[in-house]
Amino acid sequence: MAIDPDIKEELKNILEEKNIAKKQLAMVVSSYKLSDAELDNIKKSFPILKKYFLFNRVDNKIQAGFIIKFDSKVVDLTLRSQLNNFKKITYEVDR
Amino acid sequence: MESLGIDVKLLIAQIINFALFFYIFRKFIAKPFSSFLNVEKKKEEEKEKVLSDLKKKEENMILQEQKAKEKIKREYELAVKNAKADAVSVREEMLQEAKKDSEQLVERGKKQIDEERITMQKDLKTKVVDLSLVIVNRALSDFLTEDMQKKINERILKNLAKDVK
Repeated sequence: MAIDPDIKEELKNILEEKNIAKKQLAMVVSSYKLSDAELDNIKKSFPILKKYFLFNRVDNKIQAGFIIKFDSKVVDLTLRSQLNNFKKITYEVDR
Repeated sequence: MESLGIDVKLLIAQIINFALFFYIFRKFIAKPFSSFLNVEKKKEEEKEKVLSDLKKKEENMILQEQKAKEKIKREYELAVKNAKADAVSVREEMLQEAKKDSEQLVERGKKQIDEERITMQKDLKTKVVDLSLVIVNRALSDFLTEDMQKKINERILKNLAKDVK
């Protein structure tokens, strides 16, 4: 029985997220597939990630930048989040 | 006497006849007639008296009626005057109240218009911001190549390193 590719991908993602919790894994979500050098660069920039193994996932919606997820923490350095922050600031200025 | 043509006997008889007639007339006709006339005269006097009394009473009544009419007229005029004064004061009060109500309505309307204007401005601003972000997102999706995305990532890491230092 063939599994739907979308469901397969989703299951894979869920499994990876579970593994993050079990093993010392950290997920880096980016808009394109990151090279090993780029992942190393990220690791160097965040000393806390030294003990984690990084793996990459692609999400086109984030425009540019990346999100790092490890343990229960999320570091969002995407263009999308910057735009959302800008939106919030605009609303706050109104009040 | 006889030469004069006067019959003495007849004369005496006529005298006696006249005396008898006078006596009977006086006794049975003149007295009752006189008393009847007196009674009628008295009745007439009483009538006159009653009439004059009635006339006086009528005059008095006319006077009293006139006085009463004047009194009623005065009271009526006073009541009309008071009613007019009351009506003027009530009208003034009503005008003041209406003016106050209208001012409140205008004030409330102005306030509502201001609130609606502010709400509309906020809505417009929100829509403009949302639309702008949608446009920016679309533009970035179309515009950003992988190389540009890489450069942005490098820049983020560079800035991060600066911030850490």
